[in-house]
Amino acid sequence: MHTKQNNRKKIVIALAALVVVIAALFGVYRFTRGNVSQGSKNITVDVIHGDGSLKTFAYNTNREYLGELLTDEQLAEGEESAYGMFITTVDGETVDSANQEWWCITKDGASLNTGADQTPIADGEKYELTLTVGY
Amino acid sequence: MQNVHADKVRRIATMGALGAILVIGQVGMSFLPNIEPVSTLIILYTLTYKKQVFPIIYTFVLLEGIIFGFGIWWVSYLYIWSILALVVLALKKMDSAVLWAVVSGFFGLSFGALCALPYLVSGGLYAAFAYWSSGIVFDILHCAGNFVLTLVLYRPLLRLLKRLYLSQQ
Repeated sequence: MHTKQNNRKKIVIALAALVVVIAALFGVYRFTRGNVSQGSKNITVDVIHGDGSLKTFAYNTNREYLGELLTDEQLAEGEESAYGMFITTVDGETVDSANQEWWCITKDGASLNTGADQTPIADGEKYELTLTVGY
Repeated sequence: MQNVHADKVRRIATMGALGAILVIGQVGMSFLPNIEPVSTLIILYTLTYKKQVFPIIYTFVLLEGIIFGFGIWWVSYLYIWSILALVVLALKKMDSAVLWAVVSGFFGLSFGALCALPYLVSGGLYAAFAYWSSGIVFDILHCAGNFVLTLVLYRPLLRLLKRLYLSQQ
């Protein structure tokens, strides 16, 4: 009887701990996402190709996320992965995954902690897409 | 002498087959985001085979590398499943489907953080944090999938594995 009660207590505590950790992680996730900006915005995207050449694209868009802008403007194509959109092609250049190539997204040169389709955009922002070798 | 040899061969074949089942389970459910039976199976394998689970784990890890390539994610596979096995070994006296489902759920929640460790070495704290935080939603999905699969499969599969184990003793 006593052991049964102890087991029930353990189960309740374990389940409660799991729920608390899920809630905390969800809080971290919400905190690290940016706020969505509504309306028209001007966005600049620099593409740095594998040969080092740079091309600049300027857009005026009502879209709210970088991924939507890039695919709408047909600048990038990607695949859905467990971690969101994985960009495979930018400005006609496709990564060679056998060579561990990937498109690195930065904002004003700083790494992003979100994928393209989770990155909210705001007026005047500048992003860089750089073909990078090595995971 | 011949019997000893045959037992050894049977045991190695079983280890290989159990490792292959992990791969089939993972690939078979890969269309679902971060929902996989590997965590549940490793918990059950560890409860049945105890320390002998490690050859099964590393058969699986090697096969995953051969199939998907030996990228930076693969480095995390070298320790991530062993950590789960060690936790199970530490808690092996526990016999509650709900508690094992909770352990499996916690493992799903921590999966992204554990996978981020190689990025901590290769890209620094910011890269590791970026990798982990962008996948939190998928860790939560992983937790939910692990919890449900372990809760449902714990009793029937453990019974089946124990029977298989005993038939080979």
